[in-house]
Amino acid sequence: MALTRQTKLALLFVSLWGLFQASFSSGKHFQYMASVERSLSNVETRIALDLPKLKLANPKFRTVAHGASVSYYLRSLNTQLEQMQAPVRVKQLQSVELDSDWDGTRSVLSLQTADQSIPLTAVILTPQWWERLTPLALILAMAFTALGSMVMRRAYKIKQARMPVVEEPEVARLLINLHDKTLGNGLDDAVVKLPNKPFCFYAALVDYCLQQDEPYLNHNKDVPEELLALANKYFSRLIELGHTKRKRPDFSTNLDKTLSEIRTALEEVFHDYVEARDIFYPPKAQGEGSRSKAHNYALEHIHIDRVEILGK
Amino acid sequence: MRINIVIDSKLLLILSVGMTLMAVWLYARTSGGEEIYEIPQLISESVSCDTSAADTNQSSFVTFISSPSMARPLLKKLCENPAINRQFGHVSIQWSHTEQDMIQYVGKGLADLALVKENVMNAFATQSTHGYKVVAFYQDYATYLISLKEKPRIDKQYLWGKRLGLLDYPSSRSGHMVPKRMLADLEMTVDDLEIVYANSHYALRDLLSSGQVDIISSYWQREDEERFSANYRTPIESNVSGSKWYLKMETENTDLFCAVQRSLRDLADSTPSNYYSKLAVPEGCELARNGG
Repeated sequence: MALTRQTKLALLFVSLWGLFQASFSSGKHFQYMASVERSLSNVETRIALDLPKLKLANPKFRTVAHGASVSYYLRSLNTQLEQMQAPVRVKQLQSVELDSDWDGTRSVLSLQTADQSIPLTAVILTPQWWERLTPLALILAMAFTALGSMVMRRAYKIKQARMPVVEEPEVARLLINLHDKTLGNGLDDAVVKLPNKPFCFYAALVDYCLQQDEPYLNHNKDVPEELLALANKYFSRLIELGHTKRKRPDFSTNLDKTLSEIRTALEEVFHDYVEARDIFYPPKAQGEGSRSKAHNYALEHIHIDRVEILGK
Repeated sequence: MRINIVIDSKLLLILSVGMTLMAVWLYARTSGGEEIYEIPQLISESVSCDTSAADTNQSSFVTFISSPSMARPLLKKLCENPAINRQFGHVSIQWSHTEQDMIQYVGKGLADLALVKENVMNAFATQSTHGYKVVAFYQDYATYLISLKEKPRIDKQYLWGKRLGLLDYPSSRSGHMVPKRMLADLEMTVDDLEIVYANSHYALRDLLSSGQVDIISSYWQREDEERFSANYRTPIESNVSGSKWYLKMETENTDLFCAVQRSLRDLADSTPSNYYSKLAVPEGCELARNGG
């Protein structure tokens, strides 16, 4: 399924946003791990330096831990860690344990002195999920999507410029030439000259049907006055063009003969263009009886785009 | 040519995205965490102040005590002392719970004034080595065996196998030396009982009230009547000398001696502690009182 340009851009934006966010989250994860390692190292160093001053138990010398002072020390240490935004807290030192509800994983370390091994329990805080999000990913995705849109537009224009111009196939038209009283198809040299009466009647018929939305002409009824007027107008034009000086014919009589001459001429002009002929051909009456009596010889499917009248 | 431009543009875009991804990763990797620096010192063992002579006098009046509870009130009294202001530019109060530090301060004469037990000063002959002299002292007290449910007896048969609570620092008389001397007098060793150590007299009382020991050795104070019965205590030794204030007198600095004594008496008058409010002083400073 072909994707629209908007869909492609939307997919590009979402993909870029995901990529940049994933990159940031990955970097943040490694930064977090480094912070944990650095914090634990600093905690170990600090406690090791303070060991001589801490009242911890020493079985070798039969001394016991002073819970209150060691707890106070651990709380001070954790306050310092919190100020530094370190991802680590100290939960327990030797037997002194703080009551806390930190969310994280425990890590047990050991401080080895000359007299004993002192266990140290730290809590590695679980990072908040929102700490790994960044608006930078959104901004970068928008910027690169805009760039991508420009590249796509440029590629499209170049592609369009390279495509050959496809000309629409020519279709046969009705060419009514008043200058030489001929009918032509506009494609080849096939032209047929008609006598004045059928020529003018046909020109008027074409003109009349182009003006009507649903032209209806019944051969059993009188020719409409509008059609007769148009025929007379075309005859006058022939006189102007010098084709005749004769008396104006009666276009309302011998309709069948007139239409027959017209049909014969059209069959010759559109001999190789049957589809076009059907458009310009006044339909013949089919059958007998009531259906024949209601027959319409108007050009119902004619369109101005396929008609050209020269010398009008 | 134009196709090449399109290919170049796309390639450039892809390369730009790739490089930006790396830059974003590096930015995330390196941003933050700068605040995780070396943890500063957390344990404070001193307070200090400058006297009015700080600009011209660099010498310091050093006081050593074992507990920080009286450090700030004492510092205030000493810093306001006229004789100290004349003779010193700086006053500091140092404290430590360890016996090693106590020995260093008085054994090497590092402290000008120290609140120390008499037996420690005698053990290092500080009176003769650095001229330490008693400027004030607290009253003598008695050492008792204290029990929760009966009156203890001081005899081998009674004490055999008992759980006895003692202090874990050997310089303590009522909590360590006196009861051990008692055991020696009874021809008993520490192995004949179960010794449970604590690091303060308050912790000893907690051990007794929680039933972790049968007897403790300690002094008796008025507050103990709320938790224990005075009928369930047996004296071991009656006149255990209290802690004393020692002033280093390498010269006949009587002005300083009397001035310090006056400050300590003022401190005792204002302290809420029943024991530390009963401060006694040796005679001699009444005649020189107007001089400090």
